[in-house]
Amino acid sequence: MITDNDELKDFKLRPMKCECNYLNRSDGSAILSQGQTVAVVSVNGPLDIKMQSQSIGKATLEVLFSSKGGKPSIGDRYKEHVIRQTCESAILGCLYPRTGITVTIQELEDYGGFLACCLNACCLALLNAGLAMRHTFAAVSCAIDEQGNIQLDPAPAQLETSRATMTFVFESREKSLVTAFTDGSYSDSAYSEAMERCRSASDLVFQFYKQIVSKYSYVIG
Amino acid sequence: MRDIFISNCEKSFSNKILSEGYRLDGRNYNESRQLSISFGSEYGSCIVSLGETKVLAQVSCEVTQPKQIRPNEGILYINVEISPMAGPQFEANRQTDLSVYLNRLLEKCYKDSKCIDLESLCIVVEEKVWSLRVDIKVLNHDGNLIECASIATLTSLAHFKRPDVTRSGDSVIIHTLAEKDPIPTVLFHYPVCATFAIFDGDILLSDPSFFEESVCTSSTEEGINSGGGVLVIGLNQYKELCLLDHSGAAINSSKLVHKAITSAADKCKEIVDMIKKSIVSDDTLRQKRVKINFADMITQHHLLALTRKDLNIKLKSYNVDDNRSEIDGMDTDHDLSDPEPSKYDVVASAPHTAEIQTKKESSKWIEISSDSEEDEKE
Repeated sequence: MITDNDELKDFKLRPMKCECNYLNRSDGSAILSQGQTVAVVSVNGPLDIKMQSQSIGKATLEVLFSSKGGKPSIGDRYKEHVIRQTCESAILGCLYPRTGITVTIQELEDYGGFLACCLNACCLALLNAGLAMRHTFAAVSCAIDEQGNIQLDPAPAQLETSRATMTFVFESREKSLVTAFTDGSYSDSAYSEAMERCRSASDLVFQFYKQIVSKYSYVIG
Repeated sequence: MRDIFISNCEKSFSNKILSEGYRLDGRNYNESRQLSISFGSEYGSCIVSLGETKVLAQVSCEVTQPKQIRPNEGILYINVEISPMAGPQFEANRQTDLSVYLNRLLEKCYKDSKCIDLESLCIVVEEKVWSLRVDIKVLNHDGNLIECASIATLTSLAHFKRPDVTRSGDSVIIHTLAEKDPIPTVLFHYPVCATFAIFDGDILLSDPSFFEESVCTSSTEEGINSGGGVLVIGLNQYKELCLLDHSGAAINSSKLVHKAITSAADKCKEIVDMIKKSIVSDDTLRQKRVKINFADMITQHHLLALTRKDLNIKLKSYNVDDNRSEIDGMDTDHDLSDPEPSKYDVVASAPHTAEIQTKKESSKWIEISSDSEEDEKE
């Protein structure tokens, strides 16, 4: 599928900045900026929940997305769903039966690649909360413009001229695809090329995770 | 459902040290936690943090039909949301007593005090007016939410600018921010709330923390309320009273309220001055086309402990001012020119309190002996 390896090496993501334990009342929290896009995530759990929402086999995951202003919209619910599915596959919920885990995401700034930023912040907050996970996950977004060029981690100006936007989430162990979220029209080949590019760019995100976690943990690094 | 309960021994300990003149975090009775305001990229968005309490405020506007009884006035709408992000005791998508109480207090303070010129928000009488919506999101609840939320509301309202409008005949054109400079909101006066926790019916604590708030409103072992409560006072920069709210046990002397009002007056004036100053400095930065973003407030040099972000220690006989010049030097060029490479810096925060911050190294357990002076000199 990949013909030109050099081309794949040529990727750049916008600079990332992260602060863990940003909120002291939550079990784990992270504020992450990717370029100008910023999101805060807090993780609480495992904690006691209502009887009717408990499940015997695994922890009940609740994801809440809150936009910056205005009333909650359908788009917010949709984002919640995507993030929930992704986190569910990563968290080892079977270790915490009859409990609940709450992930709350607050939008701060949206300048392109917002979903990817939310997902990455979620992963950092989950790590910070010390929940057992099968793998970590890294999200990378890209845009395909009219000429079919693929732009990784697009800025708002590039999003305006794009024909399609995609967000891919990869897991850390085998770099296999966990979640794909696409919008717009594109060809089969463009899709697989975009996926491969994002897959290689996800390495950068995993490196960043290590850098952040090694600040407070001796286990990594 | 998941309320946080405080044990009797914690309560009695806190009551005991308070009567001796100490607070758990080492502040004086009249001392507030550190206030910081950071602005987002849009007009009218800010995060205000008061100690560890953090609140996000965002003002948005839309054109709506005015109310029939006030055909020439705009509409101000305040919405407070407390999500599980604020603390594990809060549930999602449910209004708690606290959020309703907070909403009502903010409405009293900003709508009923008529601090906003609503008539200037009118576009066409009886047809079109601007409706301002203030969304308050509590990010972290560590006590004194009311003061923090009121500062956030005022800052975002004062910072907000709405798009310019021109009328030509029957049609109304709303210009984008690029076409015409936006118009700031007109504020007649700047009211801010100050909170006091009352202990034993005569001790006033300004800016109570979550723990102090819970202790003073809860009853004692005997099941009798110990004369504690929370007093909220809203004052504007002219020291005019805009709001007075009291919950908990009844106040038994009017002197206490007077004392609270006089101390709140100076405090509110200070806060308003700080808000104005931060808005002016933000405005000059924007005019220089500096991009302001919430990403600016992410700091990467804090010691990352697992539960507390920073370590606050109270030093009884140590004055941070003595060391300030040295520390400032370390702060500016901490990479290479450090005389002895220490794992952490001591930075002054509140008086008699220092913060320990690390740079890139991974954190270690730091032992704080009862003789904390020695630790500082290492």
